[in-house]
Formats: sequence, C-alpha cells, structure tokens
Amino acid sequence: MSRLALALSLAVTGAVVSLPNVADACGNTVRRLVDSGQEYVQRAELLLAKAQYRKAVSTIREAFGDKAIAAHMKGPGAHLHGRAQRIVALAVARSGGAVAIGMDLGGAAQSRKDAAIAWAVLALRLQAGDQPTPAQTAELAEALARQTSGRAEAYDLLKGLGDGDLMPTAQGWALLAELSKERGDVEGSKTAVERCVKMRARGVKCELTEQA
Amino acid sequence: MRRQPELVRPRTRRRSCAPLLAVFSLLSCGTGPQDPVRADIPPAPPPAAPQIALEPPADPAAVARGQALIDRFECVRCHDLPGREPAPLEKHCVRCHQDILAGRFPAPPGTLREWQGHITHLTDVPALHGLDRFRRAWLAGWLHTPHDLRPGLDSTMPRLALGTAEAADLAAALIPAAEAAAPAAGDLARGRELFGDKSCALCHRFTGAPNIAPAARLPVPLDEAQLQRGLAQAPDLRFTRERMRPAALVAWLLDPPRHKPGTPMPKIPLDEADARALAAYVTEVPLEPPPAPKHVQRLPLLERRVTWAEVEAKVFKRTCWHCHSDPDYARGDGGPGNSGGYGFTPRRLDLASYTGIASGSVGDDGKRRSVFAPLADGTPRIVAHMLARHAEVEGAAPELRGMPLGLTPVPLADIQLVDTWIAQGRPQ
Repeated sequence: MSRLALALSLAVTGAVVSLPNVADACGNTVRRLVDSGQEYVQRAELLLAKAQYRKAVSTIREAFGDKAIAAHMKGPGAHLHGRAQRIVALAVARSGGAVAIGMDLGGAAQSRKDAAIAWAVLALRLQAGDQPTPAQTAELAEALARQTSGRAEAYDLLKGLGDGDLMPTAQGWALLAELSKERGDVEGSKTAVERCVKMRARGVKCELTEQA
Repeated sequence: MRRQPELVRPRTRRRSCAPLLAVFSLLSCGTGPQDPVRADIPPAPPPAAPQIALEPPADPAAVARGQALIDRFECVRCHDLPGREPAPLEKHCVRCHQDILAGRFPAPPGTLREWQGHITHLTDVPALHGLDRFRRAWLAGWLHTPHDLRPGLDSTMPRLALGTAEAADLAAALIPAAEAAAPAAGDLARGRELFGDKSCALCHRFTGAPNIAPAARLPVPLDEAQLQRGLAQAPDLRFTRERMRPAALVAWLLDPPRHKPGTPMPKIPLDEADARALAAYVTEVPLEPPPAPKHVQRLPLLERRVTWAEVEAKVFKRTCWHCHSDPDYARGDGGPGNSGGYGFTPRRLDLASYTGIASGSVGDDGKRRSVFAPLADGTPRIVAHMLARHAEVEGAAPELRGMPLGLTPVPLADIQLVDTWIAQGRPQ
C-alpha cells in the first residue's frame, strides 16, 4: 500500500498552488508582503528549525494538503511550493520517517517510514536539480543518510561541502562527523565535530555517541 | 592657464577686432616672417582654445557598441535616458524608492511606513539628458573608476564590470556629438565676484577652492522641492574643469533648463560675459590639492563573542540582502547580486540567511566558493569586499569590487564584527 502511495504521490503533477501574488518592491526587497500561504510556510520553517516536525508538517498540510507531496512543479507559486515540499521532506528525514505526511507516507510502521524517506530523497533530489546550492546538497545528504544505500553518497556530498568550506548548517557537520567516523576517518570526524560545535546551533547534537 | 585678467578685453571690443584679425591672418598666411605687421594692432586676446584638443564626433562603431552596453549594464534601472523606456517599477531602483517615500508604491500602509524608515540610498539620480556638455574622455574615465561627484547624494555611480574600452564605448554612445569651439576667456576676478553674488555655494561644494559664502538673497526664487533636489544633485565643482566642455559650460550657465529640462539648476540672470567669467572662475581658480587618501585599516578582531544575530542585524540585513538574496525566499529575482544584473553575472550569493551566506557564491569558473575563504593576506573574501568599498571612497580602485556597490561603506566597526564572527567559526 505504501509503495502504491509513493508511486501515486510521485506521479502527481502538482496543480499550481494558486496563491495570491505578493506585491513586489524594487525587484528584490528585504521582506515580502505576507500572504496566507507565505505565513504558513514561514511558520512551518520556524517549527522545523525547532525540531517540531509533526507541527511543521501539519502547518504545511493545512495550506497545501497533498499538493505539498506532489511532484516538482513549475510556474507561479513554484517557489512557495518548493519551500513547502522541502519542509515536509526535511521533517521526514529528521524524524526518520516517523511523521505522517499524508498519502500513507510516514508513520509508525517501518514500511511507511521507508516509503516516506524514499519520497523525501526523491523530492529533495528533484529540487536540487543539476546545480544544487550547498543548502540543497546538505539537505539531500540528510535524507540520503537515512537510507542504508544512501550513506555513501551522503558522505561524498557532505565531504565536498566541508572541503570547500561551504557547509551551510551545523546539522551538515554533525552528519559528516557521524559518516566520517563510520568510515574510519577519525580525524575527519573530529574536525567536523569541532566545526559543528563552533557553529553553536541550537538543538544540534555535535558530539558523537559511542554507537555512531 | 588663462590667468591674465589684464589681457581680457571687453566683449564688444573683442568682437569689433575679430574681422580685422581674420583679414590679417589671411594676408599673412604663408608669407614668412618678413610680412608687414601693423604697429597699431592691439595685442591678440588670450587664446580661446582649451588646453585639451576639441573632441571630434564619436566613432559611429563605438556609438553602436556603447548602445548595446547601455542595455547590458541596464542603465535605465537608475537613469532616465532619452529614447529609451525606463525600467519597470519593480526593477527601477530609484523610482521604486521614490514611490515608496512618496507613499505611492502599491503596498499596505504599515509596510510602506516600515520601508520608508529604511530608505536612504538611491532616492535621486541625475537623468542622462543633455550630456553633450561633458567631455567624453572624462566620462569614460569616470565610468571606469567612478568617484563621488555629488556630495549631496548618498550613493555614487557603481563601479561596473567594464574595462577601459567598454567605458570609452559607453561614453561615445552617451556623448556622440563633437565639442564646439571654446569661447573667449572670461574675467576670472569678475567670476569670483559672481560666484558669491549668485549664491553658487548654496548648493555646490567646490572642494579645494577658496571659501566664498553665498549671498544673503538668492538670485532667483526656488521652491523647496527644487532646492532640495539641487542640494542633492549639485556636483562638486572641483571636477568641472575636467568634466565639462568649455563652450557647453558657458551655454549651460546661461540657461541650464534649456539644455536639460527638469534640472534643479535654475536659470540665473547672467549675460554672456558674466557666464564666461563664472566659467573662468570655476575652471581656473587654483585649487588646493585633494586630501591624501587615507589608508583603510582593518580593525583587530574583538575579544568578545559575536553571534549571527548581531552581524545579521548590523550588516547583512541592513543593506546586503537587498541585492543578495534567495529568490525562493525574497521577492523578485533575488537581486543582481544573486541572479545577475547591471552587467554582472549571476553569483548566486544569498546574504539573507545563515544558510545562504554559508553556501558561498559562484566564482568566475562557475564553481561555488566560500565567501569566508582567506585571500593572500589572510582577509576573508567577504571582509575584503567591504574594506574595498572604503578604499574606493578614498579614491582607490582595488582589484576586488567594493561592497555595497556604490553605497556608503559599511562602518569599519561593523566590518570588524563580521571579521570576528568569521574567526570565531561563524556561530549561530
């Protein structure tokens, strides 16, 4: 069932999220005028940052419903849709798939968790495209690291960011520390922990447990 | 220099002699030194030709290239240009700011009030009409390495990504016409007198010139709006001698709005002799040398802890993110510092968030690079860019482009905050 749900969700070409356009100022300005969709996304981003994954997902679902899980979309509203989908995907990755996101993805059952994580990986990969930003790369690595088969790729992605001093988040350093240690790169792991600690990011556990 | 007032004859007399001199010059043409010279001919007036050769019409090919560059550098995003449509409001830096300040911009009142409190830059800019009064060579040099020309404006012409050849082409497109012959010299002493009587110093700074206070009464009535625009746009007259064509300067002084409709410079009652005298004063009065450029000092790192919240509030979200933000999170296209514009390639730099700044920018090779990477002298790249803006203001043209582009430099103490924050591992 969850496989079917996954297939369905990936097959859905998202209807354009027809949110009202915000008024533009100066082609680019310091703060956008807030419309309701924007408010929901901003609120969900804050909840995600506070590791309140269930609330983040339910906030997105309130505004977007299943459209948030729909496949990559283009046209007006694409930016906001992309942000909404990113929140849901990261909530899935960071909760290990435990958060139900709709369409039978995520939840207590392992199969649902796996399906949700597979969806998150695919969604973040689609968002990253051919020229991902470091933020997109790190987020994809977070999701990949939740799959046994994805950990090697996650390590490669994060190692590249770390070597270029382009790691965008403390989570990225923490995960690189874990993956480095897993591969026997003790020095690399130690360095990543140090960089993570220096970032002093709230709620990010930089020190590795013995099992990691 | 034409600093010989005793040789200057009244205008009427010089005019009466001119045909006679012309006849004699024709008679003497090619006849050698033994040609008879009438002893009663008055001494010739001082040479009317300027020190610099008159500029010929611009090369049509350069004009064509320059027209294309006007599009590439998106000059219409700030300036009005004859024959060109202005940029749309959402792309027009100055009109957008003006509309916000005037309460005309389509945004909720609360948002408008918030924005109005922030806007200090790019609220006025000269229109590019009547540019034939300027020297093409000066404009080319200035476009390549702009300096603060109008002390009343908060922003200056940005240092665009152009070389000397491109600057020359742009200048050719903006000033295609040939320079007119220079007028006869004016009376410098009279010009000095007029400079005070006509209250020139009310709006204009004249760096390095003797201080001449404006008269108690203005020569013409000015409404408040015109005066404010004049105070903002008036150029420092120090540069006039290199900047303006002598004949055009005299014509300009006689009737500025005729040459540039809408200019805040009023038509001041002057006859031609007075205009020449005033031009002589502005272009010939000896000037003190400019102050030596100050060395820009990178301040030492702070001992105390600096957080992202502090550098974000004091630096990045004060100015930087206006041009460098993520289009997914900001309005519009992310700004020229992200998506490209004004002739700059897209750098994909987002200074609006911690994640964005940590993600670096796209270099000339198309690859991402850290904005924190130390340069050869150990200065982080992003800090070096901010220091370079100070150097630009001091008259230098550092290899790195100064940021914020064409705007007031970030105070050194705030750059020190960023420097310290980077050294501390960029804590959130």
